[in-house]
Amino acid sequence: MLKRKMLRDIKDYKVQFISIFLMAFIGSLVFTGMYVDTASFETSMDNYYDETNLADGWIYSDYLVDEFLYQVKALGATNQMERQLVLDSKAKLDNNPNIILHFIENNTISKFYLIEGKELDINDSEGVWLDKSFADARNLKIGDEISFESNGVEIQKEIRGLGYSPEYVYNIPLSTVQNYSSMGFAYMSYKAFPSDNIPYNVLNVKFSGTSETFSQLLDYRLHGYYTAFLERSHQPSVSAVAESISQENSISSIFPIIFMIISMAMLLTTMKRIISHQRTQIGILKANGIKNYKIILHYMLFGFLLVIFGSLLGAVIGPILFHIISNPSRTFYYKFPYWNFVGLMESSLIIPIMGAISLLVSYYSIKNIVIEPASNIIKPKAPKTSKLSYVEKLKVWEKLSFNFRWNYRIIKRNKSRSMMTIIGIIGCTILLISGLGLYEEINESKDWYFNDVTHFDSKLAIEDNISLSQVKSIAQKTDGEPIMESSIDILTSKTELATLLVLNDNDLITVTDSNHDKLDVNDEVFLSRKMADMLDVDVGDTIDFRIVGSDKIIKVRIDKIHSSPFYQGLVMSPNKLEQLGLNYTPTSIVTSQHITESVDGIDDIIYLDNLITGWNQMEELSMLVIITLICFAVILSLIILYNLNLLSFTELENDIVTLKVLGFESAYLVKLLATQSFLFIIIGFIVGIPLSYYVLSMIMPAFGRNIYLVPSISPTNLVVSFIIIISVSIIMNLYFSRKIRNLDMVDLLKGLER
Amino acid sequence: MNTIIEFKNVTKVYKSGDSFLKAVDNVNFKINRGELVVILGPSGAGKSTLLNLLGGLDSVTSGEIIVNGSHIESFDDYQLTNYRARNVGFVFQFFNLIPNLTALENIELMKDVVDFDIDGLKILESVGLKNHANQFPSQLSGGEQQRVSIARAIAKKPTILLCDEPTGSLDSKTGVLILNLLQEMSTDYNTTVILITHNSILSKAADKTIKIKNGKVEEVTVNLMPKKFTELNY
Repeated sequence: MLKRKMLRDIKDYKVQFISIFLMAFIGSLVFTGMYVDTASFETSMDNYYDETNLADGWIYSDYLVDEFLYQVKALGATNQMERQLVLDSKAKLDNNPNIILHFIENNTISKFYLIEGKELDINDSEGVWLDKSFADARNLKIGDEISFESNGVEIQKEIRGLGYSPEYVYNIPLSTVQNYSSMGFAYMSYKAFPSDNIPYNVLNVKFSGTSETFSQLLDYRLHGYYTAFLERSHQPSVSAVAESISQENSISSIFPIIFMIISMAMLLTTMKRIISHQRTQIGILKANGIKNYKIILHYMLFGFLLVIFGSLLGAVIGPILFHIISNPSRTFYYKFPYWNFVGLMESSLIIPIMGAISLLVSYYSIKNIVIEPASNIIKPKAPKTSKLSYVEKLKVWEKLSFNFRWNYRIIKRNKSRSMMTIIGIIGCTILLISGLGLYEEINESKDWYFNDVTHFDSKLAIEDNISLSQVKSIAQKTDGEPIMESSIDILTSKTELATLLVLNDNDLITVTDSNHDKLDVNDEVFLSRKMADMLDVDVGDTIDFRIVGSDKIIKVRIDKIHSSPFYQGLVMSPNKLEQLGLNYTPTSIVTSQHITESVDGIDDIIYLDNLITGWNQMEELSMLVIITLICFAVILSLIILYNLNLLSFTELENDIVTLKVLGFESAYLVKLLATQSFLFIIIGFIVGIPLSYYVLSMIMPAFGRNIYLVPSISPTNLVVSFIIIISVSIIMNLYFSRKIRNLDMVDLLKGLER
Repeated sequence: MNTIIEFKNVTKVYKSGDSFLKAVDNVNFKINRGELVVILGPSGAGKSTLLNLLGGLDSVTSGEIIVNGSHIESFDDYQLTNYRARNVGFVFQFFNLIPNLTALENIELMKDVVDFDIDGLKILESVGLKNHANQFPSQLSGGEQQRVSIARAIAKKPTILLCDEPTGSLDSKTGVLILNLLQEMSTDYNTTVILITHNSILSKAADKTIKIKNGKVEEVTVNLMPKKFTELNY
C-alpha cells in the first residue's frame, strides 16, 4: 500500500519530482558528457600516437649517414630510429597545392595510418600513400596518378592508399582556401625517390628518458652535425592537439563540478522540503502502527529512484550528446582515425554518489520527524516562535511597507530555505557569468590580436636561404616590414615552449600592454605577461632561452612585460638580438598592401582574413563547448528558479489565500512573492559576481599555452547574465501570478490547519 | 429594520467527475442590518457553502445574492475582491493569522485594503489584547489568536462579519468569551454578525436562526428576546 502511496505522492508533487529528475539529469549529463568527451579525446590521441609509434623527437641533419646513426644509437637512450627525406612540393593539380613529401626508410616510426587501399609497402617504388583529407577535397581515388614537383624534379606516382599521419593530426591551411584542397602530405618508400642516393634530412627517434636529457646527450655527442632537434611536445601538430586538450581540460575541470554542486544542493533542498510537507501524513502512518523503519524506507525511496533514473539517463545521454556537439568540429580540424569512448565507468560513479546523497538527505529529513511522538507529528508543526529583532524594534520599522516587513519576516523565519535559494541563484550566476566571460574573453583576445596588434594585410613568408639585403629589397618593394618569428625554449626550472618575435618599431605589428596600448620596441627585451606568470619571473629577472633546435643558450634580462593575446614569449629588436649574439634572419615581411602577385623570394602569402578564419577555426571547438555549457546553465537556472519559486509558493500558499480572502488584490499578492524572489536574485547575483571572477581566474590561466585570457567581467556580461536570470524569474512570477489569480479560496480554506 | 442581505433562489451545484452535488438548493432568506444570525445545521448541510457564497469566495450556480442593494452574484473577480475588502470581515475556525506578523501587524495589515486609518492598538485593546501587541501568533493561546482574528476582521469596519465555527478550536470557556465579543460587535457597532455552527444552543443568543439541512433552508426563526452568550448553559 505504501508503494501505491509513493506513486500517488509522486503524482501529487509531480512538478517537484520532475525538477528533481531534471536536476539529477542535467548535473549528470554535463558532468559525464564533459568528462568522457575530454578523456576520450586525450585517450584517442594517446592510443593513436601509440599505435602509429609517433616519434619522440626529430633530428634535422644533412649528415644522416651510418656514422651519424651509430652515434645516435650510442647515446644509450635511443630505442629506435628511422630516416626520412622530407621535401616541400607542389602537386600538379589546379592551384598547385603544397604537398609535403615523406620518403621513408621504413614505416616503423610515425607510421602512416591506412584508411583505404593497400598497406604501405616499403619495396613499392611506384606508389604513393596520400593524405586522405587532401584526396577527399580533390576527389582523388586509389589508382589515380598524381605528380609532384620538388626543386625542379617531377615525381609521378600512383595512389596506392589513403590515410592519416600522427604528425599531421592538426594541419590546417591558412594561406589560401580554408579547406584541405590546398595542402597535404604524401608518404612514399625511399625506393620511390628518383635517385639511388637519397639525401635523408630527418631522423625520427624513439628514446627513453626525458627529451631534455636526450637533447643534452645529442648535443654532447653530435654538436655541429645536426641543425635542429625537435622534441615531440614542440611538434606543431602535437602541440596544437595538446593546446586543444588543455583548453577542454580547463573547462571540464571546473564547470561540470559547479553543475553537480548546484544540482545536488537544489535536489537536497527539494527532497527535504517535500518530506517536511508530508509531516502530518507521517504522523498518521506512525499513529496507525506502521513501524518507523518502514516509514523511513518509504521516504528514503521517494527521491532516490528518480535521482538514480535521472543521473543514469544523464550519464547515458551526456557522453553521446557532447560527442555529437563537438565531433563535427573536432573531426574537421583534427584528423585521427578513431574515437575511444573512455571514462564511462569513472564518470558513472556520479550515479551511485548522487543516489547515496539523496538517500542520506532523505534519511536525515525523515528521521528527525519520525523520532517525535506520533501525537506531535500528527498535528501540523507549530510555527517557530521568534522574538522581535533589533531592526523590528526601530521606530522606522512601522513606517516600512507591509511588503517589506512581510518578506523580511519570511526570510528571518526561513533562514535555511532563503539561504539555499540564494545559493541556487549564486550557482546559476557563476555558471552564466563565467561561461559568458570565457566566451567574451576569447572573442576579446581575437579583437585585441587582430585590431590592436596586427595592422598588416599580407604576411609574406620568406624563402629559406635569402640574404638580408634581398629581404630588405622585397620589403622596400612591398612597403613592408621584415619580422623574425621563431620557436624558442625558455629554460628555467622547467622548459617552456615560447615564441620569439624580432621586429623594429613599426605600425604593422604593435607590441601592447595590458590596456592594449602601444609599447615602443627599443633595445629592450619584452616578456609576455602570461609567460611571465607561468615562469614566475618579472622585470629585472634573467632567463635563459634557446632557439628550438639550437644548442646555444642565451641569457637575457627582462626589461619589460608586455601583454600578448596570442603567442607567448619574447619580443625584441633586431639590434638587441644581434647584441645577444644571435643572427637576425627575418622569416616574413608584413605589409599593409594586399599582395596578390607572386614575389621573388616569397614562399607563400598569408592574408589577415585567412589568419582570422584560422583563429576562428582553432577556437571553434572550445566555443562550441562553452556555448553548450551556457545553454545548459540557462536550462538549469530555469529549473532551479522554477523549483525554488514553487517550493516557496507552496509553503506560503495558505498565507496567500488568507490574504486573498481578506480582500487583498491578486496583483498585490503577486508583488509580495515577486519582491522576495527579486530580493534573492539581487543578493545571489551580487554575491555571485566575485565568485564568478574567482572561477574565471581559475580557468583562464590554464586555458591553453598560447592564448592569454585576462579574467574580467564586462558590463555587457553582467547585464546579459542579469537579464537571463531576471527574465527566468519574471517568467516564473508570471506563471505564479496566474496561479494566485486562480487559487481556489474555498478549497484551500477547507484544508487550512494551523 | 432594513434588510442588508437577501438570498433569492440561490443554488450551488458542485461537479465532481460525472456526478453533481447540490450543496445549496434554492435557498431564500433575508438578514437585517445589525442582526446576529446563527446558521445552524449538521455537518455537510451546506452551511459553509452559504457563507462562502455570501463572503464572495465562491459563485452561485443560479439565484441572486443581494448585499446592501448590490447583486454580488454578478460581480467579477475584481469587484468581489473590493467587496471582501470593504464589506466583509472573516473569522475562521483556525484563526488564519499570518504567522510572520505580530498581533498588531496582523491588524494593521488591513490598512492596505481600506482607505481609512486603523488604530491597531485601540482595536487590540477592545479585544483585551493590548499587552500582546508585539507577540507573534505562535506566542499566543488559541483564544488570544481568535481574538486577534476578530480584531483583524473588525478593523475594516465591515458591515458583515462572517464567522465559520469560530469556537471550534477553543475550549468552552474561551469559546464563550469569543462569542460574547462577537455579540458586542453586533449590539454595540450595529455590525451584522453571521455565525455558522452545529451547536443549537447558540441559537438562543441569536436574533435569527436559519436551519439548514441537505442544502435547503429547513426553518428560519426569529428570536425577539435573545440571551447573552454568557447566560447560556453549554
